[in-house]
Amino acid sequence: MEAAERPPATPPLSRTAVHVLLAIGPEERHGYAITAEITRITGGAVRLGPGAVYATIKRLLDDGLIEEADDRPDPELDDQRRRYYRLTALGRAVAATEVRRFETLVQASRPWALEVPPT
Amino acid sequence: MTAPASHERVYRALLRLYPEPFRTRFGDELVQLSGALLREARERRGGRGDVAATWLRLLLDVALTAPAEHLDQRRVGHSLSRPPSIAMRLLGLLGVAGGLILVSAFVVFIPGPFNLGRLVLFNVGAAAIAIAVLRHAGASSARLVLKAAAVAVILANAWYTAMVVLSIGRPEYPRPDPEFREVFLWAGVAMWWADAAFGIAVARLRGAARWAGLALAVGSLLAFTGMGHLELANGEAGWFFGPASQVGITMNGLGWIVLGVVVATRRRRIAGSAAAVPNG
Repeated sequence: MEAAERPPATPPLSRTAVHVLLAIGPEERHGYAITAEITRITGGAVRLGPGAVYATIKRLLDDGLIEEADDRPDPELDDQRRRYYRLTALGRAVAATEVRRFETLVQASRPWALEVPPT
Repeated sequence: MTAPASHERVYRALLRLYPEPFRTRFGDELVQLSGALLREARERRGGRGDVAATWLRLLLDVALTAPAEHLDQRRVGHSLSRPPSIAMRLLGLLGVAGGLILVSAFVVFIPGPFNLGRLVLFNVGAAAIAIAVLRHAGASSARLVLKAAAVAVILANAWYTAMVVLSIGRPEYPRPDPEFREVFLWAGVAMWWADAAFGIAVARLRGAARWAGLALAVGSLLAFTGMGHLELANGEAGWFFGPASQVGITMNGLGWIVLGVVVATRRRRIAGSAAAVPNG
């Protein structure tokens, strides 16, 4: 819990790692749901393949930023082979740090960047 | 609903390109996800074009991520890692310097007084590596054997350093003083055996540290046989123990050099239960 209150001064995560963390968010999600959510929150700009998703999941698991959820939302309807992942307290803290980094970036660039027409 | 057998067969064959541990851990999920993506493509209006595009993306995904996973087996590939701190770099460099100084006697002649300084620097280098290992282990209760061996190296090398310093100014050090000689002998024994124990503990780690640990363990034991007081290197079996102890000293020095490089260059995990780094 201490890690959640006092997030480590971490270097920025890779973009893919941030996408996976934010796609899981407060939910418990399996690989396909994570992939679909990344596509949704990036407006279709990012479509990760299975290898990229699970390589990232592996690192996030090893780093203690996500964990496997024991229970599944609906065992009756769900494929038993599916594994669900959720953020740990540390993962939430790191995700919050990343979002704050984005906020700072957006605030700093908003005055000029939004004047440029989208391509 | 499972993926079509043909898809699964082809994709499972592709999964062989990943390292075995990764395949074992995530193979079934990768197959499931690829199946879901292909099913989704079939259900879209694009039909076969979409399926072909999805297959292309799956192939590209494997081509890009499989080599990365193989590389990941050989280095710290965590999402949260940072370069070694200045303190760790300094400790590692001291270890390298200590090892180089130990080995240097085989390359250049070092006169008496400077030889004492050489021994002090070697001991400081060895202790620096042990301190680095203790810092890396942090408050974790894991790796108790490694931490105990590191403490032993620090104490034994400090003891030996103290004896070297105390021997300065004694005539024909340390021969005329039997009690001093006795204590010096035990300091040497403690140093070589602590180094050997540390080497054995380090040899349980992965990568270059493992080989450095082995060199340190074997080298320290061989170097121990060269201690004059044991009269092995200058006794009847001197033809064996003389060169063996020299080889041992060289192996010990090389072990510290490699460990120094590992300490000075190794990226460290930031998060995770086993190796969490306290927030500075």
